[in-house]
Amino acid sequence: MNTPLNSFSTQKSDAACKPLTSRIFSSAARGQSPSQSNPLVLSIPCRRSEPFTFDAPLFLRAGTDSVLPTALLVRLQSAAREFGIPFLAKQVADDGSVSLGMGPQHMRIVPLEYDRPLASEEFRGARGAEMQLFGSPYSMDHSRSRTSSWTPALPIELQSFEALSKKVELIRVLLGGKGVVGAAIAPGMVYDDVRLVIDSNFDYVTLLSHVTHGFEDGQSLQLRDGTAVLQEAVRAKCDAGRPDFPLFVSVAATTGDEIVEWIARGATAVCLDHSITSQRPPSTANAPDSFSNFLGGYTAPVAANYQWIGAAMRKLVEQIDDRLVYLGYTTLGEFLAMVKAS
Amino acid sequence: MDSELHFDLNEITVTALAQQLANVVRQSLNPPENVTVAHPNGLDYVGAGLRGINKLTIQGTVGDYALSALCDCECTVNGSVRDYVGHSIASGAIIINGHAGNHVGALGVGGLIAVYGNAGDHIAYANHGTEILIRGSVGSHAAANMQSGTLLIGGTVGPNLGCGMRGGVIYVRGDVDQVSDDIEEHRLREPDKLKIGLLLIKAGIKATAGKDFRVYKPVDISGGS
Repeated sequence: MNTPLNSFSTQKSDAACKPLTSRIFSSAARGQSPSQSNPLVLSIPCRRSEPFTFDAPLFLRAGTDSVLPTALLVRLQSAAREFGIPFLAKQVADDGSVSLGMGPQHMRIVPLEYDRPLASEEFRGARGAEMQLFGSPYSMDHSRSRTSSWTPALPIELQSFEALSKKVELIRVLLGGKGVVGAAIAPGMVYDDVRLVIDSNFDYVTLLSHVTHGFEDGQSLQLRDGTAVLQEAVRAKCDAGRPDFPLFVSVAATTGDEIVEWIARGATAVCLDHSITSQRPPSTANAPDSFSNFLGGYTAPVAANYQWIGAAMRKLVEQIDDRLVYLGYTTLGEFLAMVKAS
Repeated sequence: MDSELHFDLNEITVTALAQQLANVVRQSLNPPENVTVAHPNGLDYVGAGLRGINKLTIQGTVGDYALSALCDCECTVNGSVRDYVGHSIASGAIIINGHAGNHVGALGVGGLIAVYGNAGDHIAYANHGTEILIRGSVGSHAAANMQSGTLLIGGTVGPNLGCGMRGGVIYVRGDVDQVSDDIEEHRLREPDKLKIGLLLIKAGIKATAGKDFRVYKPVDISGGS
């Protein structure tokens, strides 16, 4: 499973010679459904409805921990529609220019903190929900951590981990029965946590080894080496008999080549936050929104320009596409099948 | 739009019921006055995520997580409920003409839950502002980790009442098996009597003088006045 990427480079085919006409944004321009011609399409099976399909092995977590500026949220929603990239955000933009209707391109995922009450309005228009299984004070039992015994980080109102699957089903009902429910875990005892997630009927798991806050420079944190964490998670999936279980990772990937490398190591999708932040142009480093961190939440009247985010996403998708073609694969599915077989 | 709607859970699933009720509220300017749900058959998640319906009546016993994340609805269950009824309730009222299981009103942030029978363990667990009234007796760990809100118990209470409680108030009429170290008994004042009477009236119970109740509040660890 953990095959080095270099081993793929000898399998070049005719696909490497053909022009890259099947890009995501070109299919949208031709008026086609992105999944019809997009070689990067990914699909996560839902338990009750049609699969959750998105158009690249990428996702965004920028809106997980904070309420985003409206301009940024609008930009993310627009990018989600254009590139088919799901994003986590607590709120939806109330900007009239962005349609909030439920559709295949509506990809907001609601982050759920471990002890926060479930608010039904947050689920409106969301395509999924991601429960955070970390940060619980009951999981920080230092006497147990010394003996390396695993303590599941459960939501506060659950007394046993058997009850977790019932709460997962409740979230599915609140999503209208047609959404995915994922779990985010911190890089602690990853093996046991992934087994818990799989046994509790989640649809996917997100592994956080590197987190970035709101596309801001200097606001990222490396929690643990991503390679070791991913190895543990992949081993847990295989031991649970679910090697196909979707595994999202938030790692410090900067380029599309690195994203393909993480996929080759076993990730299903890679978080884009660090990649996009690394491409932030210097001219926007002092954008008006950054003043809100100081001056007691003062928000400048001039709207920040987030157009560079779309360009950064486009560049990353192009890099992934180029890398796959260079390696000799015409579709992501073909690449993933090869990774699985290896 | 009809002012009354009837659904039978022998004919539709719980998810379909939630979707149909959401469609009714979304498509009509005036939501239906009365909605009746028959034959819940102990199913889980009945009425989860419900909002914007004036009155909902469930004729029978329901399972876990019934009426979770409720918002702006007045619901009556003519039967018993299992665990986690009214989980994350935001507003509105839930009246249960029967017994309730564990974790009644866990993580609730507002509204009212009234149980006319007995209830199980962990009542009002991590309550964030819901008013919860149990006419009968409750089990252990009542009001554990409660942040705010009110818990009123008419009967007896099991061990470890109020462990980890950081806010809110508990009124108990019967005997308490054991009170945790995190709360202490306070003198019953006139505002407490008024609050008890008001809560009983809101729950549809004939109000009596609140003089028989005892008051428990969290220990003031700040040492303030």
